[in-house]
Amino acid sequence: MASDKENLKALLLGFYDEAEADAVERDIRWADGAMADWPRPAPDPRFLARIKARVRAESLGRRRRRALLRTLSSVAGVAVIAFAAYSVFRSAPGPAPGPKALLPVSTWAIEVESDARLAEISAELDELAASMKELQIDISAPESNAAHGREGADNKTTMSLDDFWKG
Amino acid sequence: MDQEPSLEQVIIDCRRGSEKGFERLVDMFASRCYSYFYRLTGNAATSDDLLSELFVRLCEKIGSFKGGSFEKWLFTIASNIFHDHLRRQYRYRRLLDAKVLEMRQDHPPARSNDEAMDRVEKMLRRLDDDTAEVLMLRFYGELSFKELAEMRSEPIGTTLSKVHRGIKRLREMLGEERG
Repeated sequence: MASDKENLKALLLGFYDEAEADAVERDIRWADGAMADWPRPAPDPRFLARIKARVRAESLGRRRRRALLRTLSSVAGVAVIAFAAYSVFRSAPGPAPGPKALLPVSTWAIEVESDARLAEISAELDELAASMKELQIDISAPESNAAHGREGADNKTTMSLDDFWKG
Repeated sequence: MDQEPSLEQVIIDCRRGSEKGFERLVDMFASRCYSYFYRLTGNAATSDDLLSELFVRLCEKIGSFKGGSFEKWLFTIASNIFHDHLRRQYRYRRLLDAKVLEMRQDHPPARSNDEAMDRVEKMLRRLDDDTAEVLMLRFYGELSFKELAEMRSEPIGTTLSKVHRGIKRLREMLGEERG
């Protein structure tokens, strides 16, 4: 009975005065008694047997699921350990790969070939510079001397035109 | 002679997944839980369904029981199941009412296929749902006022006055019957 689980009088005195608390306690105890006297509906025993069977099946299913989950987590744990071990052993120290192993040989061949071509071009440029020197055009001072050169050429052209008009 | 195991031992067995433990739990609480459902629904078939649902849910949730009053924990689940049932019934009633209106039939008997109500049930019908439930939790759940208040997340004084009002109303109804 619920009233036996607590000190009803002490509880009621926290909310009511002495007389009220007594009256409320009487009412509650009357209800406890009345409820105990009134017929208590009971489930059919066959239905209870069915519930037990269902609960048994449910409990068995849960146990199986738990066992399966435990197995799966063990397998997953072993797999993780194996993978970690494999990663550790694979990255053990050994000869470091050289740059030639990283880049193809053809890359170096192209570079050597480019160097040869560069030398050829600079020789050509030197030759050109020498011939320009011969023509008295200094390519190292383009602003001053080249302007003079251009002026000379212009003078030559003007002279030719004068000759033309003169006939 | 085989000694009956204590409730604590039964709960430990259930948490270990023992089928015997769950069967013992059914034996210990089925009657009180059935009475709680039956007094609130007034229907044996519905009470059977709710009771069955309760024990299946108990099976699923036993691992989450953290100690304390087992009755409070059990009847909290029972109360949730009952409220779920009420919500389902409310939706069903709404659908039914709409259908009835559509067919222009105006006799929706609320409990026509229910069993004949006994005296207690008739009196409980005359109380509001909340008061009837709190009384049933008190008497069939055998919960103290402190447990009831905690379960309903309300001050203990509120629970106390609600139960007392319900009891006074029951006494009045009994007086009316006799007078």
